[in-house]
Amino acid sequence: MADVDTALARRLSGTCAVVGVAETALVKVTERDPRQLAVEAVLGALGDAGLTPRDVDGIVADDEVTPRTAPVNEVAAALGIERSFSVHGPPAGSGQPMAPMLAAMAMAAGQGSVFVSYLAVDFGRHEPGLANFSYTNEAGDAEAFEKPLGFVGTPLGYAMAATRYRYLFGLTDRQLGAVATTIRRHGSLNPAAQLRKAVSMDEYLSSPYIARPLRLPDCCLRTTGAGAFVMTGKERARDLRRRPVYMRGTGYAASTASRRHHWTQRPEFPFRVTRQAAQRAFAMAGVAPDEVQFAQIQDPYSIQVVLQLEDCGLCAPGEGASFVEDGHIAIGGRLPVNTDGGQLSHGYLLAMTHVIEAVRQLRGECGARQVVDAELGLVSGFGPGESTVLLLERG
Amino acid sequence: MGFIAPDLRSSAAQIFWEGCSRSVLLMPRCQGCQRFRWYLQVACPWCWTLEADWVPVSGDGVVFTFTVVERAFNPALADWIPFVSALIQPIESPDIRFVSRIVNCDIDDVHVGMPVSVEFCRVDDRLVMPLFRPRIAGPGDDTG
Repeated sequence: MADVDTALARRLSGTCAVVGVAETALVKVTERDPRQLAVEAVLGALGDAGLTPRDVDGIVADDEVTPRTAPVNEVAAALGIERSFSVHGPPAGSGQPMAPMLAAMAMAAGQGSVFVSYLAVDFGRHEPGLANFSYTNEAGDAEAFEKPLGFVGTPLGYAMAATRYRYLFGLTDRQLGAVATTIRRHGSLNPAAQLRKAVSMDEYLSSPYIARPLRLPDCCLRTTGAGAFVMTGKERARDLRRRPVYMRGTGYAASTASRRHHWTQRPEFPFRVTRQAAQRAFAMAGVAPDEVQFAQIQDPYSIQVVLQLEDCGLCAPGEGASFVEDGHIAIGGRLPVNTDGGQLSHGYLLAMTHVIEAVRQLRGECGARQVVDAELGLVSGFGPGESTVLLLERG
Repeated sequence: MGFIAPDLRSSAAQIFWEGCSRSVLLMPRCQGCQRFRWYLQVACPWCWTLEADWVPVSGDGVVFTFTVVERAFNPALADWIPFVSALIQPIESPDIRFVSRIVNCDIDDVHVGMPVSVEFCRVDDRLVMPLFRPRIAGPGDDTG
């Protein structure tokens, strides 16, 4: 496999702008149809940009969750969108950060000028986390060889990643707790967060284990809701209602573990394909990791923040846990992370909320949780065995 | 003790669990390159051969990583709690991680790199589970 052609990739940098964002209320359970939640989010994002569904040329969505919750053809039909472009990108949380590059590629190919990405989830009706969704285990390996032997529940794989990380680099309970308490404190500053309660370190250390070393506050929420964002080209973006936020760089990587057994059999364990995705994103952007001012990192479980900080090059390998413990990821720190409360507090909308929050930070709309003079932010999202890193820049 | 019965709709599952019922741990080995393939995908990712044979393995392995599960995510496992869920590298093929439980061992003694050996445990008339217990280290245990 050849690596990406940096010179060609650089030509795409800055050609796509995110010009509108919106999410529905994020709650544990609602009786509302996820397709209607998707429609509400798309209309909200288009309204934010000063556009309507009549302006939309194409839809970019993930290929795993969206087809099951709010299929593109149904949402497009409900909104009366006639498409000249449509694509399903990588799965779950690797999908949303990929959308700006896919839109940029479509625009470079002359296939339209306004694109929407959305995601609707109804995790509140299911057991926690994706791995318990029947549709992720269609091939049956989990049912045949893993669940009977006790590998049941999404936290187990992440807990095993934390155990492996602890073995390789060291990891204290307080270091994991620093992730959970910092991000949950950020969530307490976000009026839209599903959970607005902060957690102190004492409360963290006395909270029950779910799967050691992960405790209850290390685990994400169960959420029902939807989010969306609108993308267009550089020229048109200047004429729209909001300050544009540009896609500066995007990188994607997939491991050789298939979705059927991405947790237990992937060659890199803990999950490390984010490293390649980040290198590709920085290559396209032509910037260095130390220029990033904040990061929105998909955080279903606290350990995943530590791993992605390292893999994105935002701290040295093996130093993610101490980086967090030293306070660097807090608002006001060197590199604020998950300023909206992430999946631990804002809500579990895969990486959709991470993209939306990065855009709002770069527009300067975040009030009490605003990162001062934010100009360059990083989004890291992942799905089963696949990873996408997105660099967004203030216009 | 409660348990989750395996889904036996695939031939791979039928072969594997039938082996367990005879206290034999079977794993699929590629007919082309002789590497073990786990799980059995539609082709070998190293040599692209389609066919594989199920062969007995020793049942000896090393703990790659683990977690102590303190909450049951399925009611059938409620009386297992707390239990050790682990990924185990078979000594024949350390790039594979076999999913199982560590038993006959103090939970606090389980560690990464711990040598383990399969212990077949009958849970009802039809089902024998391949669980793992500690063993004395020997050659082939330096899989890291």
